[in-house]
Amino acid sequence: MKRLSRALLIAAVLVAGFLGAGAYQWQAGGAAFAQPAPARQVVTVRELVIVDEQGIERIVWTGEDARPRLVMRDTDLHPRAYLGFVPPAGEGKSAFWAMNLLDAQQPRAVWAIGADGGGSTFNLRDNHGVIRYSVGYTDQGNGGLGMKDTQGRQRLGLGMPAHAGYSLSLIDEDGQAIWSAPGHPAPHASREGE
Amino acid sequence: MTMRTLRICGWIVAVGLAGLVGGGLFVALWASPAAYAEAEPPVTERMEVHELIIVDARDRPRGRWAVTEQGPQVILMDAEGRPRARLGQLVTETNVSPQTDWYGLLLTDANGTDRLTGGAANDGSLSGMILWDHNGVKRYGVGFTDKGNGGLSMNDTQGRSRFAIGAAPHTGYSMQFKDENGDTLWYVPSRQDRFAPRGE
Repeated sequence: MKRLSRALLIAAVLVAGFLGAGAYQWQAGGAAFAQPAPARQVVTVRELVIVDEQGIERIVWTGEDARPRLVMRDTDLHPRAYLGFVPPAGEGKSAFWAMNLLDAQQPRAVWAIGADGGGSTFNLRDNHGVIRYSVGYTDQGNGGLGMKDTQGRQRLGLGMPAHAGYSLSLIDEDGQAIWSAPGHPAPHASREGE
Repeated sequence: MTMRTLRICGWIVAVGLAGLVGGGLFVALWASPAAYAEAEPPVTERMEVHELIIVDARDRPRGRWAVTEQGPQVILMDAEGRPRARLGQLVTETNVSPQTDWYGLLLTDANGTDRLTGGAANDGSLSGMILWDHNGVKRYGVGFTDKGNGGLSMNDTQGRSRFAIGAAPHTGYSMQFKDENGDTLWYVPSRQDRFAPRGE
């Protein structure tokens, strides 16, 4: 009889332990048992990181105060797509809101607008980082479109000043206008797209 | 130490062990590893939410990923909470339609003026890019339609086309400057050029 009561007591304690652990789990993390988990309405985080099967961070979206950004990386962690704020590259330089598409080394296509006014621009760069095509406008209403050679020299310029006529120029490697339209050389037009 | 004390100690140990075994059994049989997220943050394989908000160190919203009224969008905001960059399904005025539904990028200045967009129409009718100035006037547009037409247009501060390259598939390409009244100042190829025999 004594043995029976001991066995019953031990069994009761086992069950109590089982139930106690269950109650704790239910209290601490009921979501673990919800099947299927319902979609949450809003999730708020400071940083979202999406990793691949190897655990490599391939997408990082951060609300960092000085540089909120969304970056997509390749398997070697090179940024390949960037959307967000670009702080000034140096003293006297401007900050931008931009989207960059990059190769493994550098930006190749950039869409940008000035963070504090400023202009809007789009440019394409070659594999050496030279801007080969750009179009943009300043906040004074001036604008331009330019194409450059592999040395970064302007070879085609379409000037679009806010308060004057438009003009198109072809420029040689020494910076001299060799053809222009609508009829007169417009050497200054080549500066507009920069 | 009396025999009675020893027995009580034995019972306490036995009861404690039984509780541990019971708890362990529960964990082994029922609990999922996700229950230990706080102990060691694991990678969440999948998460379903209606809206994701990214905040900065001062809890100000700086990013939003949601299905908006226009469609799915990633939105980045400045410190004042103003949307400055959007990527996703957008509704924007283009040369083709005042309400073009497309997937692309949209950059907006601090005054809420759209300044730059590029993308492809949702119905496949258009792909292109537009730049607006600080007054919201369309100054540059380039695009191609699904009919094969395309072109590049540059406009003045009043939105009047002053330079254009036409890329019509059947009538040939052309380039022209116009004055502020819409009169053509310069045009290539000239009518004579266009109808000249081709080097024969």
